[in-house]
Amino acid sequence: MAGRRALRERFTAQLRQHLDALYSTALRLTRNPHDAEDLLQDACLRAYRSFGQLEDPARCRGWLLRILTRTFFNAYRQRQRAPEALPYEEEVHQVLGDSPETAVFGRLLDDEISGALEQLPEEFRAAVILADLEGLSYQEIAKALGCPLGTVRSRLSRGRRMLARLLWATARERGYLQERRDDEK
Amino acid sequence: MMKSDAMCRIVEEQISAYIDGELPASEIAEVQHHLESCPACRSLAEQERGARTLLRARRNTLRAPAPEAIWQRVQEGLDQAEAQRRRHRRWFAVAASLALLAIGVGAFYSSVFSRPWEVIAETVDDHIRYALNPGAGLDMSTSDPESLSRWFQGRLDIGVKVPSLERAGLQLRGGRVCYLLDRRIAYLMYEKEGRRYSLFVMDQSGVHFPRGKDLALDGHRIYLSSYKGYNLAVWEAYGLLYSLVADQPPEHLAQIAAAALRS
Repeated sequence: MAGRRALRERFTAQLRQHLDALYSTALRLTRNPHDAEDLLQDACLRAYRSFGQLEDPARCRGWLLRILTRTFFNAYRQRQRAPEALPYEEEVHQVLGDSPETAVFGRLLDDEISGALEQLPEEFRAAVILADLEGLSYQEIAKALGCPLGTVRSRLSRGRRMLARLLWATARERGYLQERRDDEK
Repeated sequence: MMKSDAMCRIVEEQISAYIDGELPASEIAEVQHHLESCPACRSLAEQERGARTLLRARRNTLRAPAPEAIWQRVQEGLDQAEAQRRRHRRWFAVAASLALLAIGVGAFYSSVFSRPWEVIAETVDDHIRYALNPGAGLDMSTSDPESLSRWFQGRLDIGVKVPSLERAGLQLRGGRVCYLLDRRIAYLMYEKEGRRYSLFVMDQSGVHFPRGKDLALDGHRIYLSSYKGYNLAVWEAYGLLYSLVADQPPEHLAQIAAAALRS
């Protein structure tokens, strides 16, 4: 049927454009390539089934990422399930170091950043990835996570701060803080 | 004037929105003012800004490109879905034309093709995902319908009264929240003689009630269908849509549906 073929072509075109974003997010969420591929495949089929209902093609990216994220929380999370109460030990306004974040963080390698990102609890990780790597708006993130805007704010805040602490720890471990002091001598 | 630590708690929840420019204009000045006077909150904001700036600066190298093979795999998946859809439609077309002959109502035709397919496909897929998984992925394990109903409160927009199906010999195992189309819905798992039954409960608004082969019971219609070798009974009661999935004969599912409607 012609209408059907046109729909498939439109979908394929959108998918080609956003495939890297989808795969990358899938990989960050599942933390392994095997699950990432399954998740991506699964999400694409779900998206295709309701693609006819998507009214504004300009919103396709957010919409695809939303389906991917929801599919993850729906189906894939159980494979690596964390306790329902999220571990969040309050850092209570602690000053982590005396050097500006940007200078120290700038020394970290991509793999070290990825490693820190993967340690975040998944609800926080999802919020941070969607905001800072994929550039979605709070509204789009709220839809993807199925939570109110206020929750997006707090998950992002806490997620980024947890990440900052992990990055500091990595920097200290790798001697990037030490090195800096040596430079200044 | 609000006490400072109360203010800290408020600002703490607003820092991300402040940094991202997602804070309503009316709240910006207050956050700004507090950050100027409170070193502790300023330090939190700096940590957050540091992580944010780093991720955004490395965005391109942190994002992994999709492997070539995945594109092929997705396309094959779409081909299969399309083939399945055609088979399903053909089946519906036959059923619908028979119904047309019998009833002769034109309106019937449009409702048959108005995507009954999605609820059926999605609930069967989720049944496969949860019920056939030994760990089952339940968020709440319980055999008590009352406590599971309470558990769903606040987790869903709808009030779910978990039916007791003991009359039909089914033991409740537990439940979880899952997504269907664009909504959060309740997933309930029951068991009988080692076989698992999935019951999905969702807000009916905006979901097309599939019509076709159905039977009436106490003023409710129970619709029977099958997909990927699983049978389904779908019914509606008091604004909620129920979909029961299992690899059991349709008559048996209809009996369970009846038990649920009477519970």
